Amino acid sequence: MEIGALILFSFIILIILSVPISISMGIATMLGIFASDYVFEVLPLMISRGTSNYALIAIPYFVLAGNLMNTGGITNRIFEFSNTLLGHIKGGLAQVNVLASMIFSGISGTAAADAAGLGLVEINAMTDKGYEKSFSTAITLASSIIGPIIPPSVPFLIYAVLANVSVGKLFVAGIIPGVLVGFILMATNYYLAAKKKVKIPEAEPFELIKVIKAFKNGFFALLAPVVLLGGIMSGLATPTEAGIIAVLYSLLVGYIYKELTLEGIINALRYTIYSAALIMFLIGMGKALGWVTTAERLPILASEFLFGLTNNKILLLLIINVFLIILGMVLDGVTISLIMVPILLPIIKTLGVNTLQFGVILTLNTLIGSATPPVGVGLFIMSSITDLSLPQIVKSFIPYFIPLVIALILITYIPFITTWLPSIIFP
Amino acid sequence: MDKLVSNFGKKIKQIVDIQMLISVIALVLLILINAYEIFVRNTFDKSIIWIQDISILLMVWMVFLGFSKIVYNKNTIRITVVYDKFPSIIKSFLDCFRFIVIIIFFIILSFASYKLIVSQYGQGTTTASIPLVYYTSAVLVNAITIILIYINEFMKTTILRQGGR
Amino acid sequence: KEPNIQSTTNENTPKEPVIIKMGTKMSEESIEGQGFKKFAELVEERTKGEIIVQVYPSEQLGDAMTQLDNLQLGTQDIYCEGAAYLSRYDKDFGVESIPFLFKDHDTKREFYYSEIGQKLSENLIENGLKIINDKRNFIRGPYNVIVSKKPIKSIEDVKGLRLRTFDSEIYMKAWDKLGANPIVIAWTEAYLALKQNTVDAVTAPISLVYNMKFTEVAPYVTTTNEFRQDVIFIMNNDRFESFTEVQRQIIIDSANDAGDYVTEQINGFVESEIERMKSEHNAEFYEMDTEPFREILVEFYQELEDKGEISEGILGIVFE
Ligand code: NA
Ligand code: NA
Repeated sequence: MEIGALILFSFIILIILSVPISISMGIATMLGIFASDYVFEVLPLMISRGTSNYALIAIPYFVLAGNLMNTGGITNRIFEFSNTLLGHIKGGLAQVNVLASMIFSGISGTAAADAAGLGLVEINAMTDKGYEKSFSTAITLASSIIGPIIPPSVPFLIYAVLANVSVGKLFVAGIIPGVLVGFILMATNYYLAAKKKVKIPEAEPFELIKVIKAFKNGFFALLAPVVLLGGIMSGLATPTEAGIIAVLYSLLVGYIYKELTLEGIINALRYTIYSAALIMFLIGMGKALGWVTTAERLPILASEFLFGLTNNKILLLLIINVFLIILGMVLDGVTISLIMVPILLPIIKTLGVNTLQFGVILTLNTLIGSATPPVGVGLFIMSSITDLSLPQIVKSFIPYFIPLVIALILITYIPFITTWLPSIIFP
Repeated sequence: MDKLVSNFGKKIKQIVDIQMLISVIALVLLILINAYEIFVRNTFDKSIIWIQDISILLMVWMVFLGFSKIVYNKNTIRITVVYDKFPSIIKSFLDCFRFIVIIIFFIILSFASYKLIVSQYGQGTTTASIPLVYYTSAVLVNAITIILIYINEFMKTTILRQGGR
Repeated sequence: KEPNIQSTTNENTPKEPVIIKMGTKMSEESIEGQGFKKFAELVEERTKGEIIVQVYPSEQLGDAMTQLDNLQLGTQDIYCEGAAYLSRYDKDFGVESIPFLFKDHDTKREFYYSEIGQKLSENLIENGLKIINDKRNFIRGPYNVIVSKKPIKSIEDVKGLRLRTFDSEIYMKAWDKLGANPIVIAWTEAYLALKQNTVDAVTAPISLVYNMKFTEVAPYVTTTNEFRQDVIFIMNNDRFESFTEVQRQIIIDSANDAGDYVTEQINGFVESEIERMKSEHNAEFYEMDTEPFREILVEFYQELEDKGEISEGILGIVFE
C-alpha cells in the first residue's frame, strides 16, 4: 500500500514539475523498485521488454501510412470526393469534414495524422468558403477522434497487447462505434446549422457529374481503406501485414498521383519516428511501471477498493468512465492505457464486460480527453496549425463535447454496438 | 567556458543526428524485411523463422535511438500548465531541479542496464539465437545519450545564461 | 519490506509469513491454474502459514523471456512453463520442441534422469535456477493432436499440408521433412487462419482445441502425440536455498503433488471436451500410428546431433 502511494505521488509531483511523462513513469517505477527492495536491473529489463513486442511492430506502420497519405496527395483527393458528395447538405463543409475523417481513418492509425494532415486541408477549405476558423477547428478536432476508432488504430494495438485480446477482433469491433461517432457528429452539425448556432455559408449544389469526376480522380485513394479493411475483416492480413500493406499502398498511390517526392518520403519517415518512438518509449516505461505495480498487487487493492464502493455494474462503469475522462484531461491516451489497463482489466472481467468493448470505451474516452483542457494533445495540434488560442478552440469545441459523451455512454451501456460485428465475423 | 559549452553542444547535436539517421534506416529495413516475409510466405507457403527476432531488434533500436532526437528537440510530452504559472526565477530553479533529477535517473538506469547486459551475456533469443545483449544495449546507449543531452541543457541554462549576463 | 527469512524460524517473535512470487502463463480458471492454486494451498498448509505463495496468472508478470530474466534477477521466485524456454541456457532443453522424439512420458523422464539430463540441471543451477518438481508429472496437453480441414489418417495425408506452427526452427524443419508446409502464425490468429484457409491444419494440445473453437472450422482431429509436454516449476536457486531443509522438502513435495492433481483433473476434462466437440461441431477423432513419422525423422535427429544442435547420447536414450 505504502509503495503504491509512493509511486502515485512521486509520479504526480514529477508531472507537475513538468518532467516528461515517460521519464516521470520511469522515475516513479525506480522509486517503487527501490522501496520494494528489488534489484535495479529489472528496470532496464522491463523497459526493453516492453518495446520488444512483435504485435507492436504495426504501430510505426499505421503512423507512417497516415503521414504518407498526407504527403502523397491522397488526403486532398479524399477531401475532394467527400466535398462533392456531402457539400450540399445542411452543415456543408462541416459534414464533409466528418466524412473525410471517416474515410481517412480507414488507413491511418492515429488522431494526430488526421488532425495535423487532413485537418489542415479541411480547415483551409472551410476558411476559404467563409466558415469561422474556430468552428472549422472544432469540428476538425472532433472528427479526428474517429481516426483510431475505425481501424486501423494505434491505441487499439496498444490495448490489445495490454489486455491480451486479438488485434483483429478489436479492429473489427471498432468499425460500428467509429461510424456511430461519425453519424452523431454529423447530426450535431445538422442541428447547429438548422438552429443557426453557427454561421454556415451557402452550400454548393449537388452535381452527380462532379461526384463521378472526384471519384475517378481519387479512385486509388478511396480504395485504400477498402483494401485495408477488407484485408483485416476477411482475415487475409494480420494486423502487422495490414500495416505493411497500408504503407506500400500509400507509397504506390502517391507514386501513381506523382505527388510523392523523395523529400516527402523522408519527411514522412522522420515524423513517423517522432511519433512512433515517442509512443514506444512510453510503452517501455509503462511496462516497467505496470510490472512493479502488479508485482506489488496494486491492481487487486484497486479492485477491492472499487467493489467496496458498490457492486452495481452500471454505477461502477459510470465511476470508471468519469475517472477516465478526468484522467484524460491531464494525461495522454497511451499513458492512461498503460497505467489503467492492468488495474481496470480484472475489474472489467469481474463485471462481465466484454474486453473488446472495454477497449473501445477506454480508447474513445482517452480520445475525448485529448480534446479537453487543460492538457489535450489534440488541442495543442489544432492550436499549432491554426494559430488560435487554446481557450478559443475549447469554447467552440463545447457543442461537440456533449454528443461525443453521448456516444461514449451508448457504447458503454449497449454492448451490442461493439460486440455484434466481431461475433458475426469471428463467430 | 562559453566556448566549451557550445562545442559540447555541437558534439551532442552530431551524436543525436547520427542516432536519428540510424533510427530512420532501422525503420526502412523493418518495412523491407516485413514486406519480404509477407511476399515469401504468400508465394512459397514458407515462413521465415528469424523474422520476429530481427524485426524486434530493429524496432528496439529505432525506438531508443529515435527517442534521443525527441528529447533533444524537446518534443517529449510534458505537462506545463502548473509550470507556466510560476515566475521566471522559480522556473529556472525548477529547470535545474528537473535536469538534475532526470540526469540521476538516467545514470542509475545506465548502471542497471550495464549490469543487466553482463548478466544476460551468452544468452540468446529462443528462435533465432540473437544475443539478448543486442536488445538491452539499446537502453544503455539511450540512457547515456540522454544524460549527455541534459548535461548540455543544464550547462546552457546555468553557465551560458549567467555568463551571458 | 520483504520479511527476513531468519526471523520466521525464531520461535519467540510472531511469525510473519515469507512470500513467494510465482508467475504462470495460464489463466486462474484453467486446469493448470487450478494446479498452481493447489500448490499454493499445499505449501501454506504444510508450512503452517510460514510460506505463502502468491500466484500471478495469465502472464501478468510478463512473457516467458521476461519472467525467466526476473527469476535470474531474483525479482520473481518461481515461473512455471514448459522446459523448451530454457534452451537459452542450454541448447539441449530444445529437445522439448523436437516432434516425435520421445515415445512417451517415461522416455522423457528417463532422459532427464540420465547423465545428460543431470548435466542440464546442474547447468541451470549455475544460471541460478532450479527445477523443483523433480517427478516431472505436471502433464500439459495431455497429448497433442492435428486439427485439420480434411481427415488425416496416415503420413500420406500430411504431404503438402499447410500446417500452422509456432516459431521454432527445429520444429518447422521436422514438419518440412515429413512433407508438410509449416507456416508460422500467432496462436491467437490460428482460428482465423484455419477459417480463411491460410492453413489446412494446426497442431495443438487436445485440451486447448475446444476453447479455441478449432473444430468449428476444421472438424477432423488426429492424435499425434508429437510432444510429451509437462510444466516445470523453475525457482530462483538462492531463494530456494534460503529455506530450511524441511521447508525445501515441502516445496518440492507440494509441486509434485500439484502435478499429480493436475494430471488427474486433465484426463476427465479432456473427455468432456471431446464429447462437446463431437456434439457441437460434429468433430471426428482419429488415432494414427506415428511410428512411421519417427522412422522418417531418425535421419533428421541424427543431423541435429551431427551439427551439435543436440548433445551426443540423447538419441541413444530415446531409441534404446
Ligand atoms: Na475531419
Ligand atoms: Na483508423
